[in-house]
Amino acid sequence: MADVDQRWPGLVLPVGHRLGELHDPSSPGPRQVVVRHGATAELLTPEDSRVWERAHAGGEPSGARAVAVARRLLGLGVDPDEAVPRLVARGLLVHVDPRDDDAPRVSATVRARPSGQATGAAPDGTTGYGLPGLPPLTRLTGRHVDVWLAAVLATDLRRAAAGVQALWAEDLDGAPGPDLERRVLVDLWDVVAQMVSAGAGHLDTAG
Amino acid sequence: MSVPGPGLLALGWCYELWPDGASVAVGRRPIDPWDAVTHRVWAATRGAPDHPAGQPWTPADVARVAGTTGPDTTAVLGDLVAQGAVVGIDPAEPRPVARTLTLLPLAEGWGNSAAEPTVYRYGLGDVELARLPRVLHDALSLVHRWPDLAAACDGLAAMARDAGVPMDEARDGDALLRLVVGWLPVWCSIGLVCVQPAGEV
Repeated sequence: MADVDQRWPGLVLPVGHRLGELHDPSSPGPRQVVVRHGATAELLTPEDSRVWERAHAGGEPSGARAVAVARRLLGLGVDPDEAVPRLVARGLLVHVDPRDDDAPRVSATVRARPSGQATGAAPDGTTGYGLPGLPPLTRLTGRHVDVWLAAVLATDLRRAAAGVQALWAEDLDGAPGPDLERRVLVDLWDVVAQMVSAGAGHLDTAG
Repeated sequence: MSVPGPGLLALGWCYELWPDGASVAVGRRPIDPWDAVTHRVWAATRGAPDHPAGQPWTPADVARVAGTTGPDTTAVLGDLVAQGAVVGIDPAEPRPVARTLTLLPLAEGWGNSAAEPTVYRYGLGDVELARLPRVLHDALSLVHRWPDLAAACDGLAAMARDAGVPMDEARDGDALLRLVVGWLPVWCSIGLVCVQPAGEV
């Protein structure tokens, strides 16, 4: 497992809007999952369906860590070294290390979309997200509400990070540049991983 | 500003909610935070789960659900129309307004089942929100391919015709558009979708 820890830095998150399993009475066979991403709605093969579904963290943001996803895939008997790059290439997964120099490029390939909406503020000042009238799927602090809004409104997550930098210009310590962008991207991806893991949002293909 | 009609649609996605107000983004534009009454009227403009499909969701329906008086409701609706957060629409002739709108799904598709292959379920978390026939499932899941809701319904009707998919009452783009718009007060009220300006999702 130590080897897995070292080779899977950052986060792996599913990309696409789940449309569910499709059963075609005229052609019985294995269940296949339909995923809408970008301008397409794609019918995944049973194996790809399992990988894509398994990339969902199931409520815990730590489950979006790349090493956690790799371990879950190994538990399925799937080789993450083969499956993750293959689905990344097809735009169905994103693998990003927000601290890495490549993070801005990867961030520009995806955008965030909401699932559900604000459900109300808690006494501690956090805002819940999910279905109004029901317990929230997750909660964000006021500062992270701004980050999630920027993520949802921008056409990709690199632009979202630029929006957050502009919003927080007076609060952020440091001159604009790669270091500041990296710090904002780390915050942004933390929030995105939390919302996607909780089912309160999903990623989509940018552009 | 006067209130258009005969039906109303609420635009936007609520991203912050407090006991005394709320924040909503209409398309890519966050609107200045609303007070509680304004948010209540906007939320009531989304519709109701038991509204008969195809019937307009009227200012009187909004006042009843919001618990506000007629004049107060009219004044707030006028402000919301001015902010682009409410539009008037005629479910019988929705095309002119539908050209300016699109839908943003807020729930996940749960697919169909071998036992009920013609029923497509939608939900969020562990809550089932809706069961839709194929024609409405297609509209909800594929609307993003076209620049606006009217164009989407035209395109979907053509695709279905070419593929030989039975469309029943939604036999062409106009009929499908009327069907979809007629369901919006139900879909928006249960959180299945939100309506947004075309080109801004």
